[in-house]
Amino acid sequence: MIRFQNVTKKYAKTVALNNLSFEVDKGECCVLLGPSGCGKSTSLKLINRLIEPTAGDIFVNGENVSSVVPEQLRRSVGYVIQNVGLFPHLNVAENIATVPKLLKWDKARVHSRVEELLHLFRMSPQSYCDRYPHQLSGGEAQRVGVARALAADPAILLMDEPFGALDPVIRDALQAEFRHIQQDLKKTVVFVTHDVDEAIRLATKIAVINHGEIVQYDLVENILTRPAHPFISQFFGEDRALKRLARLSVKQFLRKTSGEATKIDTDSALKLEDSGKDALVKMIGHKLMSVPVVDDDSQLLGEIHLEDIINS
Amino acid sequence: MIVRRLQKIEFSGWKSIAIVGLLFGLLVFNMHLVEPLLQSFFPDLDRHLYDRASFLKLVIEHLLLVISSGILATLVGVLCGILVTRRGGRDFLAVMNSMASLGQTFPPLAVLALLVPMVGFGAKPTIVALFVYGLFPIVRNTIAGLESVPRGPMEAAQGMGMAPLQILARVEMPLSLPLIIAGIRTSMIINIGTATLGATIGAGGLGAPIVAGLIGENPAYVVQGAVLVGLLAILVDLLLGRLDRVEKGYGVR
Ligand SMILES: Nc1ncnc2c1ncn2[C@@H]1O[C@H](COP(=O)(O)OP(=O)(O)O)[C@@H](O)[C@H]1O
Ligand SMILES: [Mg+2]
Repeated sequence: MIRFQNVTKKYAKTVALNNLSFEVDKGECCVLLGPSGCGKSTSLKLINRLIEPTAGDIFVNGENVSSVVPEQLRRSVGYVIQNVGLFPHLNVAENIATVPKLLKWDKARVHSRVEELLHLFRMSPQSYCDRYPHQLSGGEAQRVGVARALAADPAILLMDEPFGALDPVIRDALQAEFRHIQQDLKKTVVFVTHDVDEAIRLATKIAVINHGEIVQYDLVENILTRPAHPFISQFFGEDRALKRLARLSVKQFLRKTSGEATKIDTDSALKLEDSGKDALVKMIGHKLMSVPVVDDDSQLLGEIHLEDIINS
Repeated sequence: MIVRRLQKIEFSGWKSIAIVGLLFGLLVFNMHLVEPLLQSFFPDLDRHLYDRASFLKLVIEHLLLVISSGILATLVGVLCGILVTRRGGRDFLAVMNSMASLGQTFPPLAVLALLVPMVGFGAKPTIVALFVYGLFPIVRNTIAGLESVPRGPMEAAQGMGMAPLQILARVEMPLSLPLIIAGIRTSMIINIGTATLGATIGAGGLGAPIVAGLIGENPAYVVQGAVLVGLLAILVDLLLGRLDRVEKGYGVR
């Protein structure tokens, strides 16, 4: 869906990107991950032609972006910028309606789309439509920023450190929300971050970038288990095995119980939506080699064994 | 309690506008009411009330001078400010800034003296002089306003596919409007005072009693003109200040 082909971008002295080639498939969330100044934002802005490459080509839907009128291209690609960038003089509804209005949708359609998006982000239209950006919390403003990017239902969404400025608790909530929404919408997402945990949490594939070059581009699982370069092991840290576990569901380790349903009530029990990391935490906390898994009615479903986690 | 009440009076803008407006109207239509006051201040004069033209006519003449030059200065000033902040016009930014400030350091009286031989006496040279004089605050504030637009909304606007003119109209202008209005306000206030000079070359206005008083050694005439000019300046300042605040409404925290 998005393809970089030998893309180089030079500024006067610096080489921001050096001969970048990679491809993002439809419905994937590709995270560009790397230290500050490595060229992540530059890569993103090349896609909607906010920046023109020095050499190489970028294709969106098989079409070379240099042959598309920039304004038209940008209206068909959602874009969430680093510092939200809501229009301070427009209210929430007007902010979200920006691209639909540029596309000359009729009023009724714009209106119902705005409401639909606010519902999607669990913000009630009655209380949010008329608010101005300064009347929103950081998390709400960022939700509106993402809603605005999704307004015209673009197939592609570009996000530049969208949750970077939020405090950890809110960031966590928004990441979870974004994952949830992405499962439904299946957008092709290019997501920029320097936060390893965020990348692991949201990505289908991660492109690790350093000094304007891709060090490794692979599925998250592969990057965590088979780092291709010392830079990656270092960047992801010693605890990358734990980070990987955090991505895995307890379902993967579950040894189902046979026999009759039993009700158990203990705080060492796990739920199905917990992660492998949660299981490990429980085991350590309760000094157990295995812990039970229950459903929402506390009915026993099975057990997780430490050896399964270690051997995964 | 008293402090709070004082603040209420201070900040309830419409109240002060009403008071100043009432006082101004009273004097314009009933200057004879203050005749005893003038008599006690200037007992040696035999004439106290300026009566060569009605004050209403003078006020209208004055406002026409200020408003027509103000509209011209606003159109040209805002346009220049916009042009020199566009990508192609950036090279002229410094030139425009110094030209506009040069316009303001040039004494308006000298501008009048230079213009009269070219366009004759009356309102025309006065309007040109006021236009030149009032241009600087507008150009300067337009540039400052456009440059103060935060990068975030600008990048968002571009990234969502607005064309340059759409960005100007929907993002840059609305966000710099408070500063532009402040520039127009400054320009208008300065020119309400400066317009009195027009009377020296027959443009009429509230400068007429002042000039007549100077020539006829009648300070009472001068006071009548000066007080009306002062009140008019305050009134316009308050009115434009309201506009400023209404415009900023969304930004009130
Ligand atoms: N407009 C510019 N002019 C010159 N250098 C730039 C410009 N934009 C970015 N750079 C440089 O290019 C490199 C990559 O920048 P960027 O893509 O913004 O990094 P990040 O990965 O932090 O998003 C940096 O070294 C930065 O200094
Ligand atoms: Mg960046």
